[in-house]
Amino acid sequence: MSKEKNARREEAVKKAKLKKTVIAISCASVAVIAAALLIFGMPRQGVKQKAEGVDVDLTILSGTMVYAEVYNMLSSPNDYIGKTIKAGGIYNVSFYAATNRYYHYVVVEDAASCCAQGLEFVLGDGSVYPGGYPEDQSKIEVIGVFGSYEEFGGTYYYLTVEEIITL
Amino acid sequence: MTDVIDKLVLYFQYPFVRYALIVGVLIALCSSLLGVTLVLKRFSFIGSGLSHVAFGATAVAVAMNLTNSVIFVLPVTILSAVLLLSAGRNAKIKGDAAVAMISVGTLAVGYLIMNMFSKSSNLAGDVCATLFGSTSILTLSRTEVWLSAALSVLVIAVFLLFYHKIFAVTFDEDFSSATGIRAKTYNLLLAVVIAVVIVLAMNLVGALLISALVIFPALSAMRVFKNFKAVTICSVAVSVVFAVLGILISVIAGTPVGSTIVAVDIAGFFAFSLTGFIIRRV
Repeated sequence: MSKEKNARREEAVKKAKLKKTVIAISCASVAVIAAALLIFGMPRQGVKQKAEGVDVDLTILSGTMVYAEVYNMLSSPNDYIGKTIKAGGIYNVSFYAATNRYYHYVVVEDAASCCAQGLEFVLGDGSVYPGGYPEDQSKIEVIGVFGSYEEFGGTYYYLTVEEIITL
Repeated sequence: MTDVIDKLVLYFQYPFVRYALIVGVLIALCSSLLGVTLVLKRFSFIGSGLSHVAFGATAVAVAMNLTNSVIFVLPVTILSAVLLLSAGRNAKIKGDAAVAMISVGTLAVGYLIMNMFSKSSNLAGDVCATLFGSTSILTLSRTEVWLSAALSVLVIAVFLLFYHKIFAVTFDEDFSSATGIRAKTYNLLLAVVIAVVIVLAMNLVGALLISALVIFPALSAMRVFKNFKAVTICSVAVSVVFAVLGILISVIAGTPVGSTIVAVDIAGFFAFSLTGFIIRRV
């Protein structure tokens, strides 16, 4: 009777050990798959370094990170005033009749491509559109100082840039 | 691999990534604690219904220009959860029909209100972020982080304090009532906790994907373990690990946060199903 009991107990211990082994192997497999996803999800060119003299370089971040950082810039602007920002995206220009002037934006999109945000910029040398500005909807990169201006009782934020690089 | 580490080191310098991981872990923990109970009580779909209610309430909060929408969204979602869970068997519109009705109704009305009254210049973006949680977890303010942490601690405390009662009500409501447990009161408590988790989880995966966060970890754990305690512990571990992985993959690869977490959860479910199959065979 006790022999039978012992045999059953041993079998139960063996089963429990096997169960633990299988779970451990499964967890390890999930970890390997996750590591593979992380590695293959990386852009092939490796990690870019922040451009020299730039405080916030949006061009070295992934789409998700860029969106979150631009959101922070526009929701907590005081943390960024006076800082040098490098941004890349699609150039967009629009004319507003009430102020009789053109507004220039570099549009950054999030990973889902539904939450586009425009960072307003202006050329620091005083160029008047279209002089000095690229073609609408072209892909650009700008480096500029983050600042603010008042218009119609509201505060707006923009970059004063020295040069627009068309990609 | 060093590229991944370098990138992670760079991204961890951003406070919003650290906040996202903290809040993500807490939300995953809460939703998985609740998930086991919801799946066993056959209330899996209630999460989806309530998340749509939360979306509708968010739309109203946006239309009312509330700076902190949680103060409006939370009570509305709690009220809906209480109504849905306490309707019982004698309600004129029963269980799944009531959930479906509230679910689509609030989703439609929410979108309508957002379209009619929202002053946002990026309506499509707002709707997308609320429904799919594309980046919401990365754009939390410090107040929202503290609020999420406080609510998460509350949910965990309720679950730990009333673990035995929740266990009893989950498996046999009639029997637990007969043994003196106030099943109706605990159902009410569960309704409140579910609503809190839904409002929290909207930040992580968006309104449309909340059900995945609630059910996948519980179902994955159930493939391998067969008792309530083991399933709950495994579900919590699975949910937290997969949420962290999902957030890390999304910030590195630049994919939407909510759907990346759910994709990891789905992959995990298949891995656990395979594990369960192997265990049953050996």
